[in-house]
Amino acid sequence: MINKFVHIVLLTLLTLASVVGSAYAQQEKLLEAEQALKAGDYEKAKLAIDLAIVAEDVAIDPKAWYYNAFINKELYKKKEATSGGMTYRENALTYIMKCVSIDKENKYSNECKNIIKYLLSTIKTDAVNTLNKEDYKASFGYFKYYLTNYHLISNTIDTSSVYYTGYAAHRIGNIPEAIHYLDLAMQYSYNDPLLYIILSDDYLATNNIKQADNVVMLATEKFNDNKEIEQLRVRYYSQTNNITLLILSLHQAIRTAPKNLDYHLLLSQVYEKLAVNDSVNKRSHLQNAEKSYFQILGINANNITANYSLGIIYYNQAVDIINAQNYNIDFTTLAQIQDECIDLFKKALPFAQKAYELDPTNKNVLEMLSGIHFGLNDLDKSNQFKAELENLKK
Amino acid sequence: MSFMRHIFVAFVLLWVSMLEVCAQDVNSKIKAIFIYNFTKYIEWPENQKQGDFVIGVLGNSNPNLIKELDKMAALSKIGSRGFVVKIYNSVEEITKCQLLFITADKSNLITAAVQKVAKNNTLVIGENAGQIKKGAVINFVYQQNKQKFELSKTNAEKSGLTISSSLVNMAILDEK
Repeated sequence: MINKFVHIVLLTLLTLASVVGSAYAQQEKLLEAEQALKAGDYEKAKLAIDLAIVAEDVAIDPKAWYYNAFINKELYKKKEATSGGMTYRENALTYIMKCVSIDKENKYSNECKNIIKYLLSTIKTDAVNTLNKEDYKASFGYFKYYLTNYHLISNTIDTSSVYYTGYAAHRIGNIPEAIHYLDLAMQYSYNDPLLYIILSDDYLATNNIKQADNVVMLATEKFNDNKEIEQLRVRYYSQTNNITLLILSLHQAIRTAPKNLDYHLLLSQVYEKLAVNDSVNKRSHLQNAEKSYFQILGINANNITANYSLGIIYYNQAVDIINAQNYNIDFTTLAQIQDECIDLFKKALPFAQKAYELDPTNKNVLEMLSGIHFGLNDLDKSNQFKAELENLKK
Repeated sequence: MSFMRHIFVAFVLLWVSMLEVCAQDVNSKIKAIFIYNFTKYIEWPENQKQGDFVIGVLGNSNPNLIKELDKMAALSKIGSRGFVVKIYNSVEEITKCQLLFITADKSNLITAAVQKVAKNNTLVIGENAGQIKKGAVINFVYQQNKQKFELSKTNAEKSGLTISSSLVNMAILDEK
């Protein structure tokens, strides 16, 4: 009986000794890590801390996690460019967050802040570098991580990072995230027209017209004479089919850049499209288009679209006049109509000829020339252009 | 900003398109109007005033004119008479018609065609130079880009047709 009791006591003592010994060993490892760290031997320090941290009493010690983060941060610094380096940074970030979460007495808060600051600055550098290399997916990931943890090191807002996170998200087609960050950047008054351009596009892509309208309006207020914002308005109002505002913005854009052919071309084409869809005011829309095309020719007499379009406006006008006639009109009216149409065909001819000179293989131009000569009853020339057209179609 | 510039240029290219040429043969429409008017200014003998007014077309080289005549036939009447358009590919196919239009590609058949319709009081119309001399009553010509018509009173009389003086006044007379 006594023997049995002694046996139990001995076993208990042995177990206790083993536990105490083990705990002592882990603390030893922590100490070893600390010494290696002080000596700058981070590989050795890492081996020691990895063994030490598994012990329960060490795992609840913020100092151990701070050491662990510090060691991994230093190893990252040494091996930054390698994939292993990235793992050290990830570890460092995980361990420093752990330290922050268990350091109730804020004993390591300053040290933690410095490590986080350093690690986040490297992440921001990576975000910018990948953005410059147009690796938007990676850039978005870095920026997002950076922003999520930015509050740990500063009470301010890094507005440009907010914007670039949205920009990267936009470029990878992650529209909800793009809208989230760009809208935030807009609220923080980030001052770049591109923000408004992208944000309105993204709102439009998600059919949120109300917000898109609002962004375009704010952009107009903020950057009224900005070239890109003028282009935004033109694109936006044409995409939303707001013809009145489209015409207004084109006129304004032309006032700012009177020699910009794109604006003149768009304006002419808007009027042309209006003429097609609004038969009541067709004539006045065509007159506006005509005026606009003449302005283009004033800037560049060799603009093929303007030459072709003026030719076609007059040619189609003649055709429309004849088409609109009843078969029972009298000879006098018919003679007047013929005169009017011949005048229009003659008016169309020089523009058509110029367009032909600029692009002799343009099928539309050849068709128009054949039609004009036919209308002028010059059948030989009409057939000549018809033959050229047929040859092109072969 | 080059990214935005690309977007705008792409947008402009998307927007800017060339207006299409209205595919309309204006000359055929004008000819159809002329033809309709001829029926108002020419009088056919009593025996030709019943039933549909038949417009015969010898040749099919002018499909646009045939289209216009068909349209005219569907939309218009001569008094209470409707129009019927018939296409003939040869002189042999020609049947009784009040008006026979000979397209340019069949103008060499005019003499035979005139002979074929000689007793039918048919108004023969051509669209090629010299058709009056070969028996056409009316021939379409172009003067100063304008579509006009030559007229032969003699040929009209031979066909038993009475031409109003108004029509004569508007025509280029060809009586040589």
